[in-house]
Amino acid sequence: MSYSFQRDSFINEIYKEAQKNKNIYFLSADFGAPSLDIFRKKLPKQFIHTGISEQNTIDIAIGLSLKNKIVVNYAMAPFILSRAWEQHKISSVMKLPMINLIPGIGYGYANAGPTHYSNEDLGLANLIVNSNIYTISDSKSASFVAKNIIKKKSLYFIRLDREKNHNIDYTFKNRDMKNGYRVIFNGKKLCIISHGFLLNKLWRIINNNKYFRENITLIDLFRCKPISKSLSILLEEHFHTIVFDEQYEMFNLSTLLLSYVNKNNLNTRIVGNALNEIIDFGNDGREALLERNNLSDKKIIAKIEKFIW
Amino acid sequence: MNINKIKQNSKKIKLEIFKKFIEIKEGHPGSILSVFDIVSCLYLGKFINSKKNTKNNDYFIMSKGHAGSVQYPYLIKNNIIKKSEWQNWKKNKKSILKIFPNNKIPGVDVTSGSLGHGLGIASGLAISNQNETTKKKIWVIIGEGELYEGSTWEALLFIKHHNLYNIKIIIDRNELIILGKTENCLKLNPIKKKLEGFGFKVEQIDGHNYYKIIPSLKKLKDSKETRVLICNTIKGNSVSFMENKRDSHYWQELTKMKKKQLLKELKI
Repeated sequence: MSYSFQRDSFINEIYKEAQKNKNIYFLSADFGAPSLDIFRKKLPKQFIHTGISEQNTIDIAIGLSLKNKIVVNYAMAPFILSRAWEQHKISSVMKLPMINLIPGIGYGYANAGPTHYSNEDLGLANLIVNSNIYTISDSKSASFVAKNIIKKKSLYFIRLDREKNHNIDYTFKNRDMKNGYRVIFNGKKLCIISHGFLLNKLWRIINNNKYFRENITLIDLFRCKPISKSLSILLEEHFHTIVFDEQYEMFNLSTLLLSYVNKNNLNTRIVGNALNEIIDFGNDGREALLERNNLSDKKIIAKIEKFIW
Repeated sequence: MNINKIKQNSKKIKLEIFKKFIEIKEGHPGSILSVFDIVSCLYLGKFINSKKNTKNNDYFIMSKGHAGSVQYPYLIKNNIIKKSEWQNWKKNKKSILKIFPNNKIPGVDVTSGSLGHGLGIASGLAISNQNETTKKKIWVIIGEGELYEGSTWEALLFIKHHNLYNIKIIIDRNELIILGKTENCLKLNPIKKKLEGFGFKVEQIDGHNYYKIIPSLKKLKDSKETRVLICNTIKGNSVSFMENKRDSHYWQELTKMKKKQLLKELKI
């Protein structure tokens, strides 16, 4: 089983393309990665250190995008989006394409405390008109998404996990990008949808249990905005769809799916599992934080068992 | 350059703008009148490269978007906006002109309205310029109220660090914000020293005196250093019942007598 960082896989793809295309600019608000060190060294004219100033970073990106440059903005999840939300709104108002890389979503910075948690970024990104939201669950999907979006001119929010993740045993197909999801297991008894870190966790849990493997449909909804029409067929095949997300209960992946189900008048039931509306100062690691939100391995297994039997 | 001629033509344009505001019953008169003379010198003095169908036009960002409609008469004069758009303003749904400019309007480079974005956006345009052969100028007018926005200072740091002297920064300093005088609400002074502390060359002039504005704009245009031109202005300038009145920020319902007085004073 291999492990790697999503951000490096994503940036490596951008770097490959940037070598061929001088119109690609990478803006960092003082946030790094080993892959970015190579980018900075080899393509200094295409790398801009914008200082720890997320608002100005996005304004600079707007200026570059007005000149038809392909811009990638990069800073820690809680700051690049929430601190600069109005700037993102302005880029949307002007219909300017850009790629916002958002590493460290959810409890990715568990050791840093609530100022660094990013448990509301999905809602904020969703509120940006015409945004496309991708949430990456392993480095293979990071490369796959990067390759597919770099040449497309749209407004993207790419949500990445901070940690090294298991590479999920899955070969991407061309249709996956169009769908915005991949079906990792295809059982008949229960449907589970997630993305990002929790999808990776769910894959590990299900992969280690033969009964789960054979009876669960596990969907990695790596693009949750817009949600593809084809997902409705999969949803209607199941009475229940359980959704897991590392965002607050006020807005998370299940909120988007519920809206999708209502809009399309689908006959299925969405069961959301997300974070409680509390500020948790417990400086005891991501798993402990998840445990208090009923999202530890043990509690996830209990939930699955409740619905699958 | 015949400064008197520019002055005379400016007066006609100012009158036209206010006839239009009276007709459409909206506008931000106080801010337009404070920035008007600077904008008029920029366009009529041909400091801004602004022609029809050319890719070499300079950029112009009215960062204080509420005064952005002041550009329209000049863009019409340069055949960039059709004259019929001015005539049809607010007359039908297809009318493209708005009080706050947006980048769908020909000749308008940036959608503005929300304060504090102009210099950051200009930085992106200028950085992109650096790798190109044609060095376009990026003229940015910010209101002093935008100096309250942190993003403005973030951008100034960036502009200085990268020596983006192609960004031509003008501050419209009319000393008023919505709730009163800036120095009473939250002190901005000493603005000049603060900007000099950031490493900019700063000049401060009377923003209604054409004989001061035009030479300073020339200096700003030709400079290979990062510079800021602070223009001391009067909100509501040249209309006695609007001058230095914070209420002149928004369009107020005018009596027949006030309309008459406004147009009369603008003709003088």
